[in-house]
Amino acid sequence: MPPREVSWSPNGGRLGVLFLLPTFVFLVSLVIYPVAYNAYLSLQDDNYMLGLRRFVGIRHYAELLQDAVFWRSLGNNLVWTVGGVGGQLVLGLAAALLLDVPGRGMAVVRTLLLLPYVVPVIATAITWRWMFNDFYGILSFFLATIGMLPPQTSPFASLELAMPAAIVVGIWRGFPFAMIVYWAALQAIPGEEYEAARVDGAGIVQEFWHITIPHLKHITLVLVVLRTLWMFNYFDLLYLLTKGGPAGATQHLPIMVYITSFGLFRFGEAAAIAGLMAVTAGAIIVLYVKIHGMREL
Amino acid sequence: MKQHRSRAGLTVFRWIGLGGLVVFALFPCYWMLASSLRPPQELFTVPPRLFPGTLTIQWYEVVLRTTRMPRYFLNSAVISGASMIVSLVIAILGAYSLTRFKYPGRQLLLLSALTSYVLPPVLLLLPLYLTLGALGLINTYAGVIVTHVTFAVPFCLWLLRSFFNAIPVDLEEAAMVDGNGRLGAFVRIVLPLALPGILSTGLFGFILSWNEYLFASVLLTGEGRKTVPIGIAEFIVQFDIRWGEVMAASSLATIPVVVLFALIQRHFVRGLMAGAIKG
Repeated sequence: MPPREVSWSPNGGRLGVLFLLPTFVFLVSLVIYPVAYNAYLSLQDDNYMLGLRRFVGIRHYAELLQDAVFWRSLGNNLVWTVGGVGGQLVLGLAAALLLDVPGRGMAVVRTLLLLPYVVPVIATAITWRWMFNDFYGILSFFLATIGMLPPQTSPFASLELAMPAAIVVGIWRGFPFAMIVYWAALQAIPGEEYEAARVDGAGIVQEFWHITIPHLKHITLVLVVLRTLWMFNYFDLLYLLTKGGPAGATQHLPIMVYITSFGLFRFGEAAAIAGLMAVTAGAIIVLYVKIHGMREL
Repeated sequence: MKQHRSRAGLTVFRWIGLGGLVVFALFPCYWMLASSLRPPQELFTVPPRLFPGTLTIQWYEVVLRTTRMPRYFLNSAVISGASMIVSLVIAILGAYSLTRFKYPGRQLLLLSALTSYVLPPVLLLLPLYLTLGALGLINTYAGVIVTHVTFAVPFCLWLLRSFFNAIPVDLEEAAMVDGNGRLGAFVRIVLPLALPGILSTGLFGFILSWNEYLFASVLLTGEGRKTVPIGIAEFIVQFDIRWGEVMAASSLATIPVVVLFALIQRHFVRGLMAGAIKG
């Protein structure tokens, strides 16, 4: 139940506005201003080394839409996002369902399963690279033994396997979030509904289809939107795993922005790519608010 | 009877499934730790050996004695601690205001906060880099702290809102009747009640900052101010990764966040359940 709100009154109201001030300053200086600055940069042709800058209008955007590297990075971004989010939700739901019984043991298992979500990204990336090492990697060795990988190679060196391997790591990192959200949603399903179904002679499968699934529809939508935005924008993990290689096979848009700006110093172009990413993210948020309503807020 | 058997079968299936998940989730952590404790002749074997034979702390000695990692740990602690405190102060005040007061534009502010939470970090990268550069804040603690605040504030705001929402307004009103002002009610009633939530939110913000790579890699190029993730990434010179050192440094970087998380995970889960992402 949402709490009752104190209405706009001279006394309490002033305190409310005062408390809001830091948040307001934060939003203006660290969100709105940088976004506007980025839009401005994307309309300039920049040479950071020579200190030159001139207005070129939407030329960067027009050129990007003709650029094969951009489209390939966008494609990689979609594969990375869809694969990662799909895997995280499936595994997260499976884990939540398995955990959904009372008991101290379950609380311990739940905590253990949350661990991948907090391990530093650098440690995650390095450990998986070590496990997928061509000569000494335990996973590479295992995959070669069962014939899924040529002996003494790393999936991260393969044009076809680098992205699937990176997605596995992305799922490893993100599934605990989906798990805990699904688990919380399962706790909110009234127990009477299951009891009533059981009295009617329903089996586990029917219970799952007719009670559990309908109750999880809404939270699934929320998770899809939040995880999609997160994975789509996520730079650290993929960059530290592959740096976009081999030969651009895992380069997604955030890596393209990073390389274009701090590798090639083409700031205007990089700002335009980031701008297109933001437009995509914005479209997803609008869709989310449309479906979801402002109720969540 | 049939019902009973299927429920017992379910329990067996449940534990097999959970066992598989625990192995999937924890094996990389085990492998990182195990690899960091192996002498070279056991680290580089074909096939790799699942359990270490002899244990050694030689890689930890190398990392702590001959590299700048200890300094990087200090830098990380300062930067994460400061961005945690700054973000908490902003977010406590903001979340309280947004949950308890009504004013024009409140929905818009909430929507902006949600939007800023999911904005691509690379969108802020260039503007912040150029602005901080113009202010002379490249290679300073303050510069990185500002960039970490950009993602920590929306996160804290979102989580704290759910903790404040869970505190009944009646308690504040009772305190106000007893002669406290609104501010008094906030300080004496709301803050103490929300303290567990505030602490766990702050510590999770600390973890986010501790783990961050993108902004730190761009802003911290000089030796003196680098954070742990930047320092570890530097062990990776293409084609020549010093695996023993890297595994030891990664384990050292992981231990503090795991300890922190063990302390706060219960509140974190409760925060999510209380409505941060309510169903």
